[in-house]
Order: sequence, then C-alpha cells, then structure tokens
Amino acid sequence: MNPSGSSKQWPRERTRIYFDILRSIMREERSSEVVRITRVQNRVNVPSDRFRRHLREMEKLGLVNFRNTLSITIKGREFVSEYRRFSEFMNRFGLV
Amino acid sequence: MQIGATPQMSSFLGNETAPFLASELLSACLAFAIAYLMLRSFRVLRRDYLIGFPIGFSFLGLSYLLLGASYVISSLGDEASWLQLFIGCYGFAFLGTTYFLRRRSLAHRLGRMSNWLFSLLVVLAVVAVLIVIVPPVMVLPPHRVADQVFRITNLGLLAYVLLSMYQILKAKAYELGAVVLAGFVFLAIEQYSLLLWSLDASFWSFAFAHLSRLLGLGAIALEGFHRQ
Repeated sequence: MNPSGSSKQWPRERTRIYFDILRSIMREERSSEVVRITRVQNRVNVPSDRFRRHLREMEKLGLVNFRNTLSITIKGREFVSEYRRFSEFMNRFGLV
Repeated sequence: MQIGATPQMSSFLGNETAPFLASELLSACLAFAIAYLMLRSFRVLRRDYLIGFPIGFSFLGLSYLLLGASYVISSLGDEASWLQLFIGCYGFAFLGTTYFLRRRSLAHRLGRMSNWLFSLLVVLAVVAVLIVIVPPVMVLPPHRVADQVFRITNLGLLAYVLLSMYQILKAKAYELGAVVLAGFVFLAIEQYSLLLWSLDASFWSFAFAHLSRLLGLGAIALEGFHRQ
C-alpha cells in the first residue's frame, strides 16, 4: 500500500528505477564476485525487455558497464550517493 | 505603515533602514540558496512536481530583493511594492502547488497536470507583472489597499503547506523534519506579523516579521546544507 492509503502502485520514475538497479548491482558486487543480471532484475522487479532497455540507456549515460558482465561505474556510484542524499533531503519536506 | 518606498515608509524607518535592508538581503540570499538546493534535488530526482520548490523560493528571494531595493531607491514607488506583493504571493503559491501535486501524485497519476498547473502559474505571474509595469493600461490602486488581502492569501497558502506537512507527519509515511516544519511555521508568523503591521503600523510587528522570516528561512536552509 502506498502512503496515500491506496493499494494501487503507480510505476516508478525512471531515475528511481536507475537508482534501484544501481543499488542492486552494488549489493551483488558486495555479496559475490560476479553480478548476475537475472538476480539484479529480480531484485528491481522490472520485466526482462524493459530491464535490458534500461541497462542500455544507463550504459549510454555512463552509469554501468554492460558487456559480458554487469558492473557499476564511478559515475554510477556518484549517482547512487547523490540520489540517496537528495531523497533524504526532500524526505524531510515530505515530498519524496 | 506600509511596505515600500512610500513617504510613510521613509519616516517610519528613518535612520533605521540599514538593519532592515541587511535583513532583506540576507533573506534573499537564504531563499536563493534554498532554491539552488531544491533545483539540484529536482535535477537528480526528476519528479515533475518538485520544480515548484526552486521556483517558489526564487520568487520569494526576488520579492525580498525588490523590497530591499525599495528602501534605498525611493523612485521605485508604488509599482515596486505591487510587484513585491505579487511575486511574494506567487512564491507561496508555487510552494502550495508543490504539496498539492505531491498529494495528487500519491492518489492518481499526474500525467501532464503538473506541467499545466505550473505553466498556468507562470503565465499568471507574467500577466501580474505586466499589469504593474505597463501603465496606463490598468491603473492600480495604492498597494496598501491590497496589502492585507495579499497577506491573508499568503497565510492561506502557508496554512495549506503546514496542513499537508501535518498529514504527512500523521501518516508517518515520511521522516519529516521538525526543523523544516518549524521553518514554515516561522514563515507563517512572518506573514501574520506583516498583516498586523499593515493594520497598526507598529515598529515591533515589523521587526518581529523580519526576525521570524530570518528564523524560518535559516531553519530550512540549515536543514538543506546540514544534509549536504
């Protein structure tokens, strides 16, 4: 249930999905040597075709390396920390 | 006494203009600093409704600058006071609209609603500015006639912001900052003090309004920069 009390979940914003993907990659990197794409996809709960489309867009933006294996770039890590910081900031205003 | 570079204002402030001018400049700096932080948040989080906050605080900063300028440039006159009232009111309107759209976004998909609403507010703001600066299409009454109406409108908008924050706090869905809440309460006290000042022309209500505003903006800015 979302905070408004409605049980319907609206789609996440693209930046939120990017954040979830990057955070899952970071978790995977911490727990195992190889980041498995299917495991990241399951964690972020996005259909396969859309997930790969997001990964391609994120690679263009320089957030991930997506060749044979999946890894997060320095820019991706910076995005995660910025997103977390500003989310927390706007949370204090009750806006995110 | 009324806000603006009116003869009453000059006699009211006299040689004590400097602290109030400093207060206006400091308020403008704080409002622009908050707007900058909000703009950065919007650019990272990319949620449409968040754009209302940087615009709102920029408008507030502009209104403080304009008021400060009217202390030192007496030729700015009634038009500057009208502009300051409009711009300040639009600043609070943008803040209120942000909370309105936030609440809507929880219950419905916003679609293009936020774009339409913000565009409408910007168009209204431009029209209001044109009405003031393009004479003699519309001859405005002295700004002090409308001053109380604007103060009451601002209070209404701030009450909506505070009500939204209270509901968020009640739902415990978010980690709402007490400092932020206190900041908006101080901004509401500022508007109330200015309303009293427009009625009784007391020096202390004017000074208290300035103090409340600085405390309010300072609290919000502190919360922002503390998190950076």
